[in-house]
Amino acid sequence: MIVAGGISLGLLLGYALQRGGYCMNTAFRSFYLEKDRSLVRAWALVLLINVIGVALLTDLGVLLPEVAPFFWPAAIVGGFVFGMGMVLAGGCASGTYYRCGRGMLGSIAALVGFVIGTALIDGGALVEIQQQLRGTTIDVSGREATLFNVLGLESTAARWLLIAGITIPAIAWLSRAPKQRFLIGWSWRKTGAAVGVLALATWVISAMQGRDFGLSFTQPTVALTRFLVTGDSAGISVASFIVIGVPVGAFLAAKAAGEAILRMPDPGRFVRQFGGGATMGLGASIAGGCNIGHSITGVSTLGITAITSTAFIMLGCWVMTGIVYRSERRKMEAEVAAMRAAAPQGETS
Amino acid sequence: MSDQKEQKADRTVDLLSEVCPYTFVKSKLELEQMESGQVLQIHLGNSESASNVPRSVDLEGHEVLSVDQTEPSHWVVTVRRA
Repeated sequence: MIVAGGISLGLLLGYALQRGGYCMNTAFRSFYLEKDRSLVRAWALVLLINVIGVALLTDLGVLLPEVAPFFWPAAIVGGFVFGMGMVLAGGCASGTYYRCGRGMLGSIAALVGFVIGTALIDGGALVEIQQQLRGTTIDVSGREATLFNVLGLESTAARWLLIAGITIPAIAWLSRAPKQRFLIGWSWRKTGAAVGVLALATWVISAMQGRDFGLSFTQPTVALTRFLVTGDSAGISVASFIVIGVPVGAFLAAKAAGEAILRMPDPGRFVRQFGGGATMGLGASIAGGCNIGHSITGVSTLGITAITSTAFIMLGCWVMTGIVYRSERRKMEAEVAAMRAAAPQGETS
Repeated sequence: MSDQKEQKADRTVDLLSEVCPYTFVKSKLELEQMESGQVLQIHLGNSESASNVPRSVDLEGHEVLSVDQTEPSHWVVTVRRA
């Protein structure tokens, strides 16, 4: 069940991520750089399905979601580092996994970096950083660190009032979405619905295995690495099989669309993507989650650690995008100046 | 790739091996260097960029003349600068 369920979910998720081009780096970055909100809408739809779904399944007694303690320094630092890393890696954690499947060698470099980065922090040589940053926590009246408990909402009615307060404006915003132009693959609606349902299904299948968490990429990557390197299978769960299935599902989707092609970026970009992946791995392991574990699964429980970390993932993404933008602009201005100096009447392209 | 389109472009940028955010950043910077009415041809190597770049340059006010898939993993986006 763990293996078959995990691999099946992973294949479907990889297929959906590739068909929908679902990259949360792009979603987060768009607030800073672009006016297009298609992937933000896909993410919002994933959250909408999961915030409502997780609350409902919790009330029905199917789930008992595990929520991270509010180790705010780790959430802030880890999130920020992860956000900076994913810009250089050319994709978030899930984005990197699915792009490996379709043969983007730069993403494979980023994944190798991510594996090393997570291993260094999670029980590795740099574990001290994680321990230090997670040492300071804010207690939420001895209860789970969720927005519900921060606001003191104990009754079912009060909890659902908060959920309605969050989801109704989101539904209103999504329903006003303009037509998505220049579409290749799935629309944001189809992508968000598919990823959302698969993320919710992961909660249910995990619960059947006694794991009270949803979709995640960081811990399963660490567990898989540990198992492959040392044979220790303690951390292996359904989620570890999902991360194995994702690149395969993405490969199948890309193959069907003729997009499964080995492609090598220039050497500088290759190294940068490796470094970005490693930075992403360090950040995710410090913060206790990535754009999936925190920004989808954790946020769906309205966990304040996940919400804080997501805010800082965005901030890190914006800062690094700003650095990249300025650096590319300087490069281009230097090229134009050199071209004008060399051949004032020359071609411009 | 059609020769006609190649001739029509005032500027061409090869971003086949690039990923986000470089694809949009470089396209945006190229457009900034050009004059209004000039045509930029952008070569992209992945479907996300071939979908996101036209959408984003369109929302910046430029005119996307065409998005053509010339090979399985090769899209040519032709944009007229606003």
